[in-house]
Amino acid sequence: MEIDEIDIKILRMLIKDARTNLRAIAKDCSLSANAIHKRVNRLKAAGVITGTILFINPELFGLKHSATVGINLEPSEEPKVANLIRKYAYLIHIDRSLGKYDICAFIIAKNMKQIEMLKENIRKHTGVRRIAINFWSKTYFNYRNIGLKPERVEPHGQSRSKHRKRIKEKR
Amino acid sequence: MDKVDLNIVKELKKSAEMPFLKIAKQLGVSPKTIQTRYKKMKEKGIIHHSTISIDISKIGYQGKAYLMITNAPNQDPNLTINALNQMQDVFLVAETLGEFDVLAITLVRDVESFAKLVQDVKALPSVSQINFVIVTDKSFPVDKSYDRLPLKLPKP
Repeated sequence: MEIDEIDIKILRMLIKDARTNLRAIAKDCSLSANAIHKRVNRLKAAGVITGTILFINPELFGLKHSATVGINLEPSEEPKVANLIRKYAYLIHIDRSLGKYDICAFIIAKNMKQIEMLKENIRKHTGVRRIAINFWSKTYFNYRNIGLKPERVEPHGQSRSKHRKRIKEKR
Repeated sequence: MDKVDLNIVKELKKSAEMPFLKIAKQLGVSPKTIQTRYKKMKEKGIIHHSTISIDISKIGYQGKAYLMITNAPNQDPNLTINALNQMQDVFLVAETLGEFDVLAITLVRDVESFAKLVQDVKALPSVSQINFVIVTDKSFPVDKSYDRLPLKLPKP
């Protein structure tokens, strides 16, 4: 499928607020709400839009500390260390990375004790050479900086459900 | 904040685009209640914002990078933040405490544009050092597991 200027406009408005009224988008694009609805569904089916995220203030829900964890370690220890992080804090995301750290994780913890335990236990783990924790204080979101331009979405970008359907058909 | 607020947040975390009418039915309260409470929670900063998640590989990006920046002494640290807030493809900037001072998350289109970004950050007078890692993660803005955080009401 092709992503055109109208799709980009839709994406921009939904990135800004996932609850944007489709009628408001329609008015902005001089199209019918139905046409926008179809386009949103098409973007979902092509796997461009994968879902929604609701950002909250985690501190108000008993999750006091957000932090980035960078670790240098033996590659074979990665899964074990990921599990170790999960044991002590809430792991939002972990990635193998190129550069300063070998793996990079985002965590949220209830209290400092959890983070201390996490740090101690990872430090002690075999194959870990270094661990660095950075606490987030103030966060700024700048979605408008993202460069969206007309794009061709490759055929392998079909939605999972379609893919599953195809596999079923093959059987 | 009470139980109803918490349940609204939980429903919106499943799907931020869910109509208030549907949430109201789910929770057995009026749609008006949901609307008022949602508005209040946004005003109070309990809910920050909602956004759609996107597979960045479908919109021309190869991955993401985390820039880890140390501010120069005797310089206004806000200069770094303000400059980063304006830079192309940098969608999240966080002031941090620890090994470095600022974390910026950027989408990476290609090596050239990323190299230029790093050069631009290095050129800021308020920046003394920049490190980075590149990841092949394709989720924007964050992984959906963020929405599965175990939320609890604060003790009164």
